[in-house]
Amino acid sequence: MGAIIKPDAHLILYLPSGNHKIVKVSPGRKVPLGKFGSFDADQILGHPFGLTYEIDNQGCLTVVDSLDSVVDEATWTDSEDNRMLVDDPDSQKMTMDEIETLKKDKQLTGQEIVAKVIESHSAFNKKTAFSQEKYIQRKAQKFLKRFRTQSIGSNELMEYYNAKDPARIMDLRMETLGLMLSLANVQPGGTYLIVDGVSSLVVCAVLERLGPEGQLVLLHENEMVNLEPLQLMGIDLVSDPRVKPVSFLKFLHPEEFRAELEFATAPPPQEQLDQLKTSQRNRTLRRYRKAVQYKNIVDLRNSHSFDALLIATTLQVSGLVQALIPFVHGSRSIVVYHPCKEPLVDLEENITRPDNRLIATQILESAVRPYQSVPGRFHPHMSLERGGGYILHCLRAYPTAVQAQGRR
Amino acid sequence: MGFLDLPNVISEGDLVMVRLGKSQFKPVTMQSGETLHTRYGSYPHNDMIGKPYGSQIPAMGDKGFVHVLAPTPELWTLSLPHRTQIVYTPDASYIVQRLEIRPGSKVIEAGTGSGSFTHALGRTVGTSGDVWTFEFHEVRWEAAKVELEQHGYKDIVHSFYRDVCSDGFQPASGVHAVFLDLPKPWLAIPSLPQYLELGGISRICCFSPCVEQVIETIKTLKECSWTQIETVEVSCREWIVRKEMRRTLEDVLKRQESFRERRSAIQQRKRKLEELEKQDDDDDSSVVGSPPNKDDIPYVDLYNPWGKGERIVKGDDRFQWDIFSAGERDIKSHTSFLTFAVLAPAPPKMKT
Ligand SMILES: C[S@@+](CC[C@H](N)C(=O)[O-])C[C@H]1O[C@@H](n2cnc3c(N)ncnc32)[C@H](O)[C@@H]1O
Repeated sequence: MGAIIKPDAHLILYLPSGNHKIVKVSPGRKVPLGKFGSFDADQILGHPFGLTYEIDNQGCLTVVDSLDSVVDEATWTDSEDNRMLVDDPDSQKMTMDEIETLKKDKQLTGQEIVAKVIESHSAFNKKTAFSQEKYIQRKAQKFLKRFRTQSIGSNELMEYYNAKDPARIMDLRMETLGLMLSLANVQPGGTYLIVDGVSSLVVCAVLERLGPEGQLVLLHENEMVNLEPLQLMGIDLVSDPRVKPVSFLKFLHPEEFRAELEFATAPPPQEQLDQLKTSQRNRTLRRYRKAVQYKNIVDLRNSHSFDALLIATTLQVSGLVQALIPFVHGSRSIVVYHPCKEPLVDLEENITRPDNRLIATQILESAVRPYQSVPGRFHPHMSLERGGGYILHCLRAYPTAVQAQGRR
Repeated sequence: MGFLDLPNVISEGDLVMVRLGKSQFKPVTMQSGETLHTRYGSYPHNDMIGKPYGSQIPAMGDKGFVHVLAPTPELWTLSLPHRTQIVYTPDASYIVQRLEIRPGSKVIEAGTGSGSFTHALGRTVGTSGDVWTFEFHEVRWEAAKVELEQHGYKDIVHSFYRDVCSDGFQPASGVHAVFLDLPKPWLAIPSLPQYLELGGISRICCFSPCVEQVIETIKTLKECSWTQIETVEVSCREWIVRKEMRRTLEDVLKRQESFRERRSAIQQRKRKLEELEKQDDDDDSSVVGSPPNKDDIPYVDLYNPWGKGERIVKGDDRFQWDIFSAGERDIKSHTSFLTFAVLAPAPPKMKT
């Protein structure tokens, strides 16, 4: 593979501050970077993703190791502990004005400035390795004008929404999304039924695992499906043939759309088309193509053999799951995400447990705890502790006609 | 039928996951004429062959039943023969997502161990991908290789009997995701670059139970130019839904009121009895009337809304029920640290 940055690609740029930015890179165009200035897109077109660049005051890019590597760390000494360190606001000898001069007049790069700032810190060598690293990180975040490129997939999308507006993805996290995909046994070539109220994040993640043969039916709650937001990030769900959107009404009640289904049975006869004006003919053909796609969805529905049902929505899940049980094939999974436990507890108690078409119900809560590891220290990042939301998982079963005793 | 075929109907020779308990699954290969004996009854394979996956199968001449399920990497993880510690689904699913493993991905894994994670990897990379997995314990290597082949991963997973710390990862190539579950991953990390995809991003995850291992791993990753190093821990708990009878304060007050009524009734009765006795003593013949009778004294029923003394089935609709959930302890039997890192592609010549 080794994907490269193609003309007009959308990328996510990660900055030393931990922020990110989604941009489009078009030949001959400048890419604006806020207080970093801007650079010519041509400088990175054709490059692989994943490189880190430093941008100078003229907008010229150089490849560097990482967002915060600065100078050769081996040249510093550190102390075992900080008993020699006196808390002195004057230990930093350089003033903000002097730093500005370095930037403006001497045209130093961010990297050179950080090195100078460290040099002029009188007590730097008295700090422990731990606090040296912290200090450098802080200065790097402040002065380094760097960014790293990355293509946009489900993980980047999740990061983007988490920073911008986590409610739009119902606070969904990577560990929980990953668990959903595994429990639903999403794999190349499968056929999945999806309810996505998380800005198409689940759709996007399932597509990444589908391969060219797989397909998914996307149930939506509006008049029309809205796949455009991802279009703006270069993820094209609209023309992806594997994505088959349909409204709940048309999915659950195809009997109300007989005319459309009949229209799909044979292409409009040529002689009839010949009599039409071009615009009318095109409209008829478009209507026919849509009808065929709808019929295709109804056929999938009627085969009752989806390879999993994945749900992440603010709709009430109990009624939703109940309505969709029949379409899932035996032994396949139903996986429902919710940031709160209560809707899933209700779903288990009132729908999945009492119904013998569903077995092995489980509510799971997965959470990732990041650790801080800098030289000499290793401990949890207290500030980053958080919940990861909840998943209800169960399997579809076919009960025997004579109900066996007991409940397991 | 292999794990990847998503079969609908059970056929002769299929590996079927028979569900015996809450998360108890027994892998059984279908052979007509054979019978599966469990403590929930006996099940002839012929009763299962030809049925759709997911069917409930009644026991032969008995009340019990089982469900017959199609194998998945997750069910396999719950039922496989443990030859080593294994990676469980909460970790496995996070690693696959974070390492961006997809159909067509080329992945290195060492050591194979019991092959738990290998199944999950093979499922996701599919027939267009490759997993090169290495194990230096001969018996374990052989056992995992046989299982993986039987499970339909023959063209996807390539198993090698090898010490990766001394002998590397031949013939892997074009790899962009690496998973190391070894006691000393830092000995295997330096040789990795030659197997990685040129000009692409590579991602690694090292799975280690001890902090000392993590520290040594991070040191080596840094020396070998890996960046975005982060160590995390995944915890996953199950929530159990419970029904509890609703017992309200109002009912407690009514009940205590009824205690009080009973007490005063008893006292009244006592007083009456005493009075009667007194009368008896005073004049034994002058009073005409019935002799004292215990049953004349009112008896007060205690208010008992919770069916005390009865055996009550949860959900009995004479009572009100509340639904609660309680968190179980971590569902994995052991936790490890996951250390992730990224290796940037080699930089191209810069245009000026
Ligand atoms: C904990 S187990 C791996 C479990 C596996 N991830 C799973 O999910 O089933 C570790 C395995 O690595 C193997 N191993 C240790 N050092 C090795 C080396 N240098 N080369 C190859 N395999 C090694 C061990 O024999 C053991 O089977």
